[in-house]
Amino acid sequence: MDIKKIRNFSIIAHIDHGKSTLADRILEITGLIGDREKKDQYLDKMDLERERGITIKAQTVRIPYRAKDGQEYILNLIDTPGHVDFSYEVSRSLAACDGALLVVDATQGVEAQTLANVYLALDHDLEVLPVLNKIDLPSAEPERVIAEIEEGIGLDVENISMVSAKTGEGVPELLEKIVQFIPPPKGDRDAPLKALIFDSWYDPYVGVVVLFRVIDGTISLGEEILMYSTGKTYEVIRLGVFSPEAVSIDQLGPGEVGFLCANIKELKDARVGDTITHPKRPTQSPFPGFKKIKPMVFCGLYPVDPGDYEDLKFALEKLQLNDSSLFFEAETSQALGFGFRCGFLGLLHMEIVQERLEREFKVNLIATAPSVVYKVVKVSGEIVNVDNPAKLPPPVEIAAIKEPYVRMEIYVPNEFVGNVFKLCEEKRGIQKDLRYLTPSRVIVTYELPFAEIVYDFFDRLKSVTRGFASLDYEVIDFRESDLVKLDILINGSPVDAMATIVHRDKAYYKGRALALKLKKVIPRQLFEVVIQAAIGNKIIARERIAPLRKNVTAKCYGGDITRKRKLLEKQKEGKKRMKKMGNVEVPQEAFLSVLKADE
Amino acid sequence: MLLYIHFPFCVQKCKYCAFYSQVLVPEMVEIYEQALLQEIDFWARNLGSRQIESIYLGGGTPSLCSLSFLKQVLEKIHHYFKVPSPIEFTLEANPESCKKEQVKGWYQLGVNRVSLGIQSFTEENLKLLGRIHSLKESRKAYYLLRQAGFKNINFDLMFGLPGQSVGKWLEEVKMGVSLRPEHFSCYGFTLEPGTYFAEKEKDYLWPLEEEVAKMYLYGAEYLESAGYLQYEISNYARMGYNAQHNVGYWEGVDFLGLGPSAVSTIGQKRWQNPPNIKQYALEVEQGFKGLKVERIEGIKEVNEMVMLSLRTCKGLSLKKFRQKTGLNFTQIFQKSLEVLYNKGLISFRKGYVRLTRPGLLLSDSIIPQFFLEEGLCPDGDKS
Repeated sequence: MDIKKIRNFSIIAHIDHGKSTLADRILEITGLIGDREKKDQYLDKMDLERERGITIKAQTVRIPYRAKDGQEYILNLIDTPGHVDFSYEVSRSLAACDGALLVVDATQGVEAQTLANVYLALDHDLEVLPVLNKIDLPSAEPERVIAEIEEGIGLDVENISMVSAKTGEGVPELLEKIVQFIPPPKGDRDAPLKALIFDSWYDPYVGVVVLFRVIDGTISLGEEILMYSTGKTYEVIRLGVFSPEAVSIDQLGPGEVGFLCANIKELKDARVGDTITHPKRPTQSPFPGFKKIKPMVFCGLYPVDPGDYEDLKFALEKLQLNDSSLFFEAETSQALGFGFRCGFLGLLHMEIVQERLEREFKVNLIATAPSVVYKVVKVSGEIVNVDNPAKLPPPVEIAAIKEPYVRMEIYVPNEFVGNVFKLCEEKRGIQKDLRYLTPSRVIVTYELPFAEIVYDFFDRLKSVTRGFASLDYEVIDFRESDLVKLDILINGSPVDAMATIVHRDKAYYKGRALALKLKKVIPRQLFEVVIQAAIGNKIIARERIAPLRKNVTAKCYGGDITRKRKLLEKQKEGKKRMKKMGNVEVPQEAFLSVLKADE
Repeated sequence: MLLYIHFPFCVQKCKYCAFYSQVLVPEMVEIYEQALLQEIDFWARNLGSRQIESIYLGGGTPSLCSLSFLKQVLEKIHHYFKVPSPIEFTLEANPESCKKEQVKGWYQLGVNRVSLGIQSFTEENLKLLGRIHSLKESRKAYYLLRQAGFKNINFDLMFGLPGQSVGKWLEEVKMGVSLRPEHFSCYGFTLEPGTYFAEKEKDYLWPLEEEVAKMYLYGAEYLESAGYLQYEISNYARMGYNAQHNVGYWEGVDFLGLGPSAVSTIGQKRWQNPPNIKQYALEVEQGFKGLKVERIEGIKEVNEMVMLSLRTCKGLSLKKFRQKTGLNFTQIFQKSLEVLYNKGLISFRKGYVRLTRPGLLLSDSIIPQFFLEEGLCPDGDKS
C-alpha cells in the first residue's frame, strides 16, 4: 500500500449538523454501499443512537476511491462520538487522523461543540476542511455562517465545500478536496511497530475487537503483539479492515487503519489510547498512554422488583463489556434495598445506560437522582470522595466540602444572552468571558458547580433560549463550597435514596419545593403521611398527605365477583411497582422528584 | 345452589345505571321469555335435579314481568329441581310497578321477599337519579306489599348524591326506618363509566369524601340503634332477616344465573350469558356452545373467598383459610395485620378476622393486601 495514496480523516460536527448523513452519502457516492443495503445513517449501529441522532461508538470505514487524477486512493473515514461526555474518545479518534471535515449546518451556524472539536483537531495538527451542510434548505444562510467560521473560529474558508448531505449535492467535489488538501500519513515502514488503539469493543464470539492506526512499522496476521501499557502479549488471529463489512488482510503498514482480534478477553486489556507494538522490537516512542477515564456523575440504580437484582447485575456486566467507562458496584439502600452505585462520564452517558438497561435487558429500574463526586476534607485531615449524598460523613467530622466545577462555553444569539446570564447566576455560575462570534452571536464562558448542571440545566437552557443555545463543558477543578446534606423524611424516617447535597443558600427553597413535589406524587394511603425536609436535625419543610377515608365497592353480588377480583388483583400488581417505606407506599417517580422539584 | 333469574327490561334507564337493560318492547319480551324457558330445560338436563337454596328475581325491573310468565318459570323450576319449602324467594320491584293485582299475584306464586327500589326519600333526589316513581308511590307500594301479606321487605337507598349533606342523608334513613321494613341496602353512589352521571360529572356538586364517609358511618350507627344490624358493607337487617341469597354469594355457594347477562358459578366453573337478548336466545338455541368458561380454582378461588368474606361483618374464617390453602393466615400476613389492627381497621373474633366499620369503608385498599400471588401457591391447588 502506497502511503501517499492514503487519507485518514474524521468528520466533526455538532449534534444534528449532519455528520452521519454526510458519511452515508460518501459511502454511497464512492459505491461502497448500494441503495439497497443503505439503511439511513449506516455508521450509527445502535438503534438508540439512531433515535437520538448521535454516534456513541466510533465506527471506521475504508473507502477505495478513484480520484479525478485517475489514481486509486484509500480514504479511511474515522467516525467520532459526537458528545461532550466522550471527549477523550474523540481525542483518540482525532489522533488517528491527518485531517478532519468540519461540518457546519448552514441554517444553524457554529455551535459550542463545533468549536471544542475544532480546537481538539487543531491540537492534533489536523488539516481542517470546513464543510457547509444543508445548503439546499431555504433557511440556509451560507454567508452568515461562513463569516462565523472565518471570524469566530479563525479557519481559512477559501477551500470551503458547500454540500447537501441529504441530496448528495457537492459531495463529489468534497471527495476531491479530501484527496487534494488532507495530507497523506507519514510513517517509517522499517521502524518498530507503533499503532494507536482508537476504539475497541467486546464481541461475544471473537472477544475484544481492536481498531487501530499504524504509525510506523507493519503488523501481520499470526504475529505476536504487545499492548504497551499492560505488558501483555497476544497473537493476532484476525486482521482486517471494515469496508464496510469486515475484510481480512494479511498485513497493514504505516498510515493504514484496521482491526484485529487476538483472543483478548477484556476490554481493559485493549484500552483506547494504548500503543500496540512488537514484543521483540518494541517502539521507543509509545503514545503518552491512555487517560484513565473517571466517572463524573453517579446515581443509584435499583430493580423495582427485588427479585430482578441478579438480572440487573447481569445487564450491567454485559454493558460494561463494551463500555469500560461505565462503573458500578453493589450498594444497599434502606429505602430501595439491593442495587448498584453506577458512575458515568456525563449525563448523556447516564441516560443512555438507563435506557439500554430498560429497553434491551427489560429491567424495571428505579434511578436515584444523579450526584457528582464531592471531596470531603475531614477534621482529621483525611480526604474522602463521596459520590452518594447518603454517605456524607456527619457534619462534626467535616472540615470542608469541595465540589467539582466545570468551565462551560455557551453559544447563543445575543437576544438571549440576558436569559443565559440569569440562569447561570441562579446556578451559582461565575462569568469568565463574553465575546462576539459575529455581531449577532455570542460565546459566554462561565465557571459553574457541576452539581448545578446535573439537575435541570440543559432543559432550562433550552427553554430560556428557545433551543438556540448550544454548550460545551469540561470539569476543571474542585472548589470549597458551603454545602449541606438535605434529607427527606417520610413519617419521621430519613429516606437515604432521596438525600441530596445542596448549597446552603438554596437548601430552604429546595427543601420546600421537594416536599411539595413529593406530596403531589405520593398517593394517599390508609394512614397519614408526613413528608419533611431537614438539614441535620433542623426541619425546614413539612407537608402532610391526609389519609384515605373511603375506598369501597358498594355492590358485590354474583355477577360482579370476577370483575371485582380482577380489579383488586390489578391494584395489588400496581402496588408492587411501588417501594414500601415503613407503611408508606412510594411510587418510582418520587425518587426522580429530587431531580425535578424546581418545576 | 342459588338460583338467579334476570329480567332485563325497564320502562326507562336510570341515570346512574350501567347494567345491561333495555326498554320494554313486546317482541323482545317474547324472545326473552321463550329463551328463558328453554334455558331452564337446558340446565335441568345438564345439571340434573339439584337442590335450590334460594330464588332471586333481579333486573332490570322484574316487577314488570307478567304473572303468567312467572308462573310458567316457577312450574318448570319446581318440576326439574328440588325446591325445599319454605325457600327464600326475592323479587326486585320498583314502587311504580307495584300494582295491587300484581303484588297479590307475586305472593300467590310464592315470592316471600320483596326488594323495593326506593333509592331516595326526597322527590328532589328521585328526579336527579332519573327514577320514574314519586315518594307517594314508594309509600303506597310498601303498604300494598304489607297488605298482600309480605313479611320480608327490603329498601334500597343511595347516599353520596350531589347536593346531599350528612344531615339530609340521616333524614332519609330516619324516614325509611319509620316504615319498619325488615331490611335495608344502603349503597354509596358510584360513578359507573358510560352512564349519564359519568359523562356529566363536572356539572354536579359532589359531596366531599369526608362527608360521604360520615354518611356511611353515621347511617350505619343510626340503623343499628333502630335494630338493623349490619352484616355486609351495604346491608342491614333486623334479626333473622339477612338475605340468604346474597349471603350465599359471599360464602361461595354455587349459583345458577338464568337470562341474558346472568353469571353462574358451579363447581369451580364460571360463565356469563350474552347480555344481548338476541345473542342470548341464539346461545340457548345452540346449547351454549359459545360460552367461555373461567375456572375458579387455586389462587383465584382463595382470593375470592378472602375478598367476599371480608365484605361481611362475620369476616374470614381463619380455619377455612387454612383448610383451603394449608397456610396460616395470621402468620403469612402478620405485618399487614399488625398495622391494620393498630389503626383500628380490623378486629379478631372467635377464629375470624373482620374489617371494622372504618375498615369496611377502606375495604378496597385493605383486601388486596391479603391476596395470594402466583408462586405462593396454596397446597390445595393441584394444577
